Amino acid sequence: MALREASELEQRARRAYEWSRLRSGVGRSWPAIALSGISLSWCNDLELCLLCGLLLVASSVGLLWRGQAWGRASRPALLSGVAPALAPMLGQVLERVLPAVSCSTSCALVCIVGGVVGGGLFGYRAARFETEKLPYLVSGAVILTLAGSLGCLQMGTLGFTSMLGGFVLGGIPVVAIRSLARRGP
Amino acid sequence: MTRLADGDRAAFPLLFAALWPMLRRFTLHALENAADSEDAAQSALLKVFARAVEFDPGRAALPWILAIAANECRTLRKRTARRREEPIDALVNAPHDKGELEQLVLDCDLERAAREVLQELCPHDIETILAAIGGELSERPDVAPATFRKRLQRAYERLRATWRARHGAS
Repeated sequence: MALREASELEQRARRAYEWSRLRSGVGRSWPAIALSGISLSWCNDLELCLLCGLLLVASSVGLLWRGQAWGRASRPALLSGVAPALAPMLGQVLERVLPAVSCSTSCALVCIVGGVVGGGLFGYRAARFETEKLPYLVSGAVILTLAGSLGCLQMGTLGFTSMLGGFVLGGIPVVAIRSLARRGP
Repeated sequence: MTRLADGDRAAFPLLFAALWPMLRRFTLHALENAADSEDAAQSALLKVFARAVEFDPGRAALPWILAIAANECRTLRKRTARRREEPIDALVNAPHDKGELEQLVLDCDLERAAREVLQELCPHDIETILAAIGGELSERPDVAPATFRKRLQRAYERLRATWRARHGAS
């Protein structure tokens, strides 16, 4: 087979490979689509939730397409992000049950708690990786923040920053403790 | 293969360079002519890379790849066999008397049935039987006559068993 034909075949094979990775990324991003759909159903600010949802789905597809550590973080980060994404729903319930407590207080509180839970869960998974830790943490942080934003960004800047504070409070100690435990005495 | 399934693009050129010659040799051995084998090898190669993302790292890569290539060879063989069959219309329109026409149709059906059964055998058996009956497709393998007779006997046994399974008659 001539060199040019072999080169064309290689290009076709590469295209087939990349397209199949993209299709697989879309298929495996169904949890991101589901979470975005759930948050849209009770969202106060539809435009904001739609934007967060689209960014979340696009990031999930992109990272899964990329693969390796970038893609491996997507599912655990998304699962960890369910807590802060749905936490504001709990805040709204609290507001009705305890009308004396203002939304700003309850919403910040649930976003902090949601962030701690999400950060802790993701940190627990992230500590397992010895190699390719940075891509895993970066892609995980992107997905976790976008997933959490589906809920906490609706609470405004306070909710969003409370969530981020929760991620740090929950995630860093867990990563540090697990990493030390794995290294041993 | 595992690296490529994981998304390591650096594995792509290495895998391509290893797979392409191997698939060409495999399909050339399995099929009757160089043009068909080239088509089958290309289809198989594209399918392997399109399905690389589904590859399970727990299994061996080579049997997985060869199974895809064997499937492409089978598909191409069936397509080629269908093209080779003479349409019944041509027989009907040709000037024959009724008895001759019936015999021609029966012969066509028998030949089609024989080809279908032959294609269900493994490439090794097909090669052996074709070498025995001669013709443009035959090329006697370079083995001792006694070995070739034994191979032929086994190939015929498997052919008979496949015929019985398909048509219920010996």
